[in-house]
Amino acid sequence: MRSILKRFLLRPIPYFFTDIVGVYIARLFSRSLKKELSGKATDEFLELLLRGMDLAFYLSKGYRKNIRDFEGRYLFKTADNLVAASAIFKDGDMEVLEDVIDDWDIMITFKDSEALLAYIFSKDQDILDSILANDVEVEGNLNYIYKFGFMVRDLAHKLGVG
Amino acid sequence: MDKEQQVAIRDLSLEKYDLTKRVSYLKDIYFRAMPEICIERPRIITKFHENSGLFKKKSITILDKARAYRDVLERRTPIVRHSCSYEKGVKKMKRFKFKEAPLFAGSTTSKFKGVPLYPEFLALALWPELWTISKRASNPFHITDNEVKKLNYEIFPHWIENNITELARKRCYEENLKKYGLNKHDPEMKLLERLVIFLASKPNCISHTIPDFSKAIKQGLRQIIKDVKKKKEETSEDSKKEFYTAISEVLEGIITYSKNLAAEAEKLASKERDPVLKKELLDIAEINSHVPEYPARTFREGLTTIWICWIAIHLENPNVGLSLGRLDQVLYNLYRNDIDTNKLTIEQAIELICCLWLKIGDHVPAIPDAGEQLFGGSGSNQAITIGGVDKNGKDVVSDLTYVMLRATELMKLRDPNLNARYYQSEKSRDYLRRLCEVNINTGATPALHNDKAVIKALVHKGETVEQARDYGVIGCVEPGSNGRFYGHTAAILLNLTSALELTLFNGRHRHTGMDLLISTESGDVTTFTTFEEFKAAFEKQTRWLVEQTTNLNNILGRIHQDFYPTPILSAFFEGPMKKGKDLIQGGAMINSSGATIIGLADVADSLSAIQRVVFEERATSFADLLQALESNFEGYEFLQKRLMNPDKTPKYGNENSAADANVSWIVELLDKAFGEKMNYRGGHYRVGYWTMTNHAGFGRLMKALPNGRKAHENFTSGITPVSGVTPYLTKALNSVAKQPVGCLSNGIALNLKYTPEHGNKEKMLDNFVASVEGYFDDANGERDGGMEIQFNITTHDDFVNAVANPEIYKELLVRVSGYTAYFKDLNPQMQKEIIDRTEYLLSTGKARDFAPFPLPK
Amino acid sequence: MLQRSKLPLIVDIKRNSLEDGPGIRSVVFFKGCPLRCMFCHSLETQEPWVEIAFSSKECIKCGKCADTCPNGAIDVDFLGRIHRDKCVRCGECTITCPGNGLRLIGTYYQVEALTEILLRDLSYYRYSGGGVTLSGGECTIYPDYVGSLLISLKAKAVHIVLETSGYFEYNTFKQKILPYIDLVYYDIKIADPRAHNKYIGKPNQRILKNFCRLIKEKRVEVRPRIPLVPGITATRENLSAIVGFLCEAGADDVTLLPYNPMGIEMAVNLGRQKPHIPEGFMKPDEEREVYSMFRTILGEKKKMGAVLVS
Repeated sequence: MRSILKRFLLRPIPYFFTDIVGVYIARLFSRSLKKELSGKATDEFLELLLRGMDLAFYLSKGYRKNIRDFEGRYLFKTADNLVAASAIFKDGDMEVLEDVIDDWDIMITFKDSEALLAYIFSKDQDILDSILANDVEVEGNLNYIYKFGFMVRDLAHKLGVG
Repeated sequence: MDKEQQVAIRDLSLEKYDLTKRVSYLKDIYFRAMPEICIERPRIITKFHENSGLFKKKSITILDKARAYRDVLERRTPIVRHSCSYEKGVKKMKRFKFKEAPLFAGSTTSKFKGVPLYPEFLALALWPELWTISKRASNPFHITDNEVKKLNYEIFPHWIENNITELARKRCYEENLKKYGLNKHDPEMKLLERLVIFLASKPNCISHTIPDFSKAIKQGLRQIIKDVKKKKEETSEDSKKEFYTAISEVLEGIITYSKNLAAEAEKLASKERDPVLKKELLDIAEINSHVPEYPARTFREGLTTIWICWIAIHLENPNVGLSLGRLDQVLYNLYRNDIDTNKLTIEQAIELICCLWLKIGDHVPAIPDAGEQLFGGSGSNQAITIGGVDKNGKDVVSDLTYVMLRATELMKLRDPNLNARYYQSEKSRDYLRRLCEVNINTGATPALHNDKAVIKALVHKGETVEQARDYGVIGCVEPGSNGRFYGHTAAILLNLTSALELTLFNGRHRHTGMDLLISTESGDVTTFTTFEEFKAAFEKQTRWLVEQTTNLNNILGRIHQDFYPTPILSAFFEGPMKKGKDLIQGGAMINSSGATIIGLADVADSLSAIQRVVFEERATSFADLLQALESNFEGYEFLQKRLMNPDKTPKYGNENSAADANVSWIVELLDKAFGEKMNYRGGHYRVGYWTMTNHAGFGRLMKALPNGRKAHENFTSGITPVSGVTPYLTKALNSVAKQPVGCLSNGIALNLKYTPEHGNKEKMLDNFVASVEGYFDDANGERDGGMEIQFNITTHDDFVNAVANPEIYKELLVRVSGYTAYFKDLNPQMQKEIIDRTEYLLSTGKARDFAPFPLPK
Repeated sequence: MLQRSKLPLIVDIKRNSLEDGPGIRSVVFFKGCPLRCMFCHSLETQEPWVEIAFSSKECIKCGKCADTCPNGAIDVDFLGRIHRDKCVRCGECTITCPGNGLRLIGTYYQVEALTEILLRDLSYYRYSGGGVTLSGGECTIYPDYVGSLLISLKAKAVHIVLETSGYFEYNTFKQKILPYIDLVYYDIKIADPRAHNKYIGKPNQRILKNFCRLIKEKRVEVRPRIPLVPGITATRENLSAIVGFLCEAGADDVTLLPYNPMGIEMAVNLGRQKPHIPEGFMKPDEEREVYSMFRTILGEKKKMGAVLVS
């Protein structure tokens, strides 16, 4: 019963991270939504996504194993600084901030909010694709991005949608 | 006593020998099997680093590393026979079982066809894909859930701060903080991570060289250990003592690994009921308990020594162009002895070589998906060299050369990448004819190297004639003296069209946007009044790039020196054993580094177009030309047509002296700019022109160019002229053959596409041979002659069909630019590049018989 | 240096040719021919003067040519582009054209310049047993120029093939050209004198006579060839008559050249009347039919010869 409940609660989250979400959202809100999701709206959206991940860590012990001894400080933002969110992993926990943090391990700067959305809605959130498209500038240790990429897909995998 | 190499066989084609049952079966399962990720090595290495506190150390010594590798060698499971693998299924891969009976035990990974991971280098880039990698569209790898978990929880986390890239980044941070007071400042790494300017291979490997196995074969590792111990006692220097101890450690590890295989074979034999198989296992047990510890007594033992040492080298380093050298030289004595004493037949020799070739290809490199999209389809590019002259200048083509050619012809494999040396002379034309014939029959191999031109190029760079004559081919096409040359020949892969881009846009790059000054300003081209001014600006940008790329390479090299000593590779090199010094510390006899240039023809033709159209004829202004480039020639069709017309705009490869002179100017500029730079081992940089698949990858990222090429189209490969500039093959060949080889010392790849015909085979061969001879010829010293040439001989229709039906064409072998690849593994952009290459005919192209009718008298 | 007026025009220098004689060859196509074969597959080489060809496949319709033409002879909306009656063949338009839509046919080369180009592939000739082939047009109409070209090529021992229609003045040919030729491809097209006049524009006595002399004098290897043109040369009567002539002349063998309809497109490009000849290449079974007919003819000749001898 509990596992059914968990699946039910968590099911929507990975959709934000997989290819299905593009189709899903497009169907629901039509393409115009993507355009409206600029500026402040994107900011909240990004934060929402990170909080979704945070919630998953909170709810799933198996998933929490990913961050047991993991320390890492991530800063996601757009070049114009309109959108920014940070994720801090420490002591087996994840913390999501709306602000720009200074001592990041990795800073991911999207060219603009469209580039950020393109990344989030892309088929496999491959940061290398975004770098090749010149949509993103990455500063710092790339391995943190790879680790983050795994955690995103691990969530999808654990819920059987990946 | 060395036996004199000679050709005793009558039929050079060895046509009557076919694949044996054993090899056919092995080859069949080899092509069926999908690669599987192997976590054995990373698991043992990570544990060792953790337990020995190596992650916390400020630097890692050669002895630390030697102990780590000995640990891997001794702990890894000795596998004599694989029994299962995975194959393509409907939805996902499915397991299949087989019973292989190879003649060599051991494998580079724990899998039948493995993907070895090196978390020290770039393995972590696969992290996000671990759950999906077995399902990805291009080149998927199998991995079990348990292996994913082990990598995710136990292996990868340790390397987040400790792989070569991040250690180098930290080093940049530290140095730039000291120099400029800037925090987290790493412009060197940043330039690399823009991915459009250049690639560096040091974050990925220590590779691209040729070890020498002759000592291991002739004396055995035990003798080398004895020698090393003596050297250790004789020296008073601690660093040397440490070096020699490290060498003993790894050699002991290699011996143990082989003995473990022997024990496993014996165990299997005791359970085996089939007397034939039992005998085979006992043979393996006997051989592996003897070599590589002691001198090889037979041809098969010699091959086993090479194979076991080759495995060991893989446990130290990823194979990116690690090459085996002149195997027909190294093994000749054993071969001749066995044949003369009737211990070996030619059929058995071919079977042994076939089995070794399959073993050599028992692993594939790990590439992240985005990398596949740009640069995919590569094997490890393990080159083997046959033929050519020896140190004394004597032609040493032998029976064994032909045995290896026959095995290659029968197997048609991507790895090893066979390279044939040819020393031009009247009496060796039968050999060249046979090389051409194997090319027709395999469609893509071997690549042909012109001994006279290559030796001249190497001597020009300061090697002795003896060293130069004993060159082997590394990776794709790069020449280097066997066991003496540590020349990391693929250290830098420079996209030369970026130098052009930075010139055209005054230090900016359209890919990264006009707001960002990437390099340095070289002037607004629209204000230039002469072509010389433009060339000066191009030179400035090129030199800036050379400065940046060599600087970063040196930073990365120093990180290798501090964290990645290489005891195993050093054990098989002449210099380190003499000097008591690791290869990466400059232990080799020859210590150069190599750069290769992508986009030569496109850049040279762009320069020629600017020279003719903008400055000489003033047919368009520079401002208009830039506008045309910006709009990708939309609305500028007239100009584009003009720029692309070889009759009106000079093109390299069309025997146009202005265009060819621009090519020479560029290769001389690059040779000088790189040649002036010192590397971290005290050697100089050398420049070559081979592009693997990078001309397609970089092409995809770059916008329109002044030679009329539109945005995102492929660049031309290697040193090859742009497709379509001339329908006449000899013109293209002459333009290449007159380039100064002294400036091409890191090798060239000239890609030629022939259309196979069902015509008169002998006539086709006549023309094939004559084309190669004419291209290699130095025209009585008027030119250097072409250094290298390689072929694709497959019909246009077959290529087009292979795009649509990859499964039917899974063995279709092609030359990319340098190495060989399976066509189906290439990404669509690269497939298109091969399809679009100019096709030349080997005969008249008419299948009809033109034979005259005799008239009655 | 020869004066321009003394130089022949060259249409093309084909390199790496594998079908114009043994080995790898360079082929020089001279412009100008005394014959006017209506089925000529190389129309561009007939007239000895400069011509302008228009290829619609290559044209991007930029219209720059019309702006350039000093005589207003070019009309972008006109199918053939050039109103030939107004065109003086000055070539301005071919310089303006960005691609190969408008091409100037015919270039002058000094002997030295042509020799230099032809010697660039010397190593390929040597390794393949190839060399230079003189083709056309009919190069024997320029005996002085060809003679000095051959002398400079022979200085490097280049193997020379001559492709000829046989319509030359024998003594001049023998004196200036023949000594340097290693192999002659000699086209015999039509045996019947009247038909020859009709399709070729000249009588054939000279051609046949020259052939017989060449064979008789045995100074050079001569290989006769018959270009196949359905309905014109590829008829039983004609082939049979040619074989008869060749046997009598003492030729060793004969080669059939497959039909090549390229002349039709060239005629259109040059603004001439389209010739009334078959538009496509011969189909394989058509070709087989002609070949088997030819074999029958040879068989009959053999029998006849045997009867005559006995």
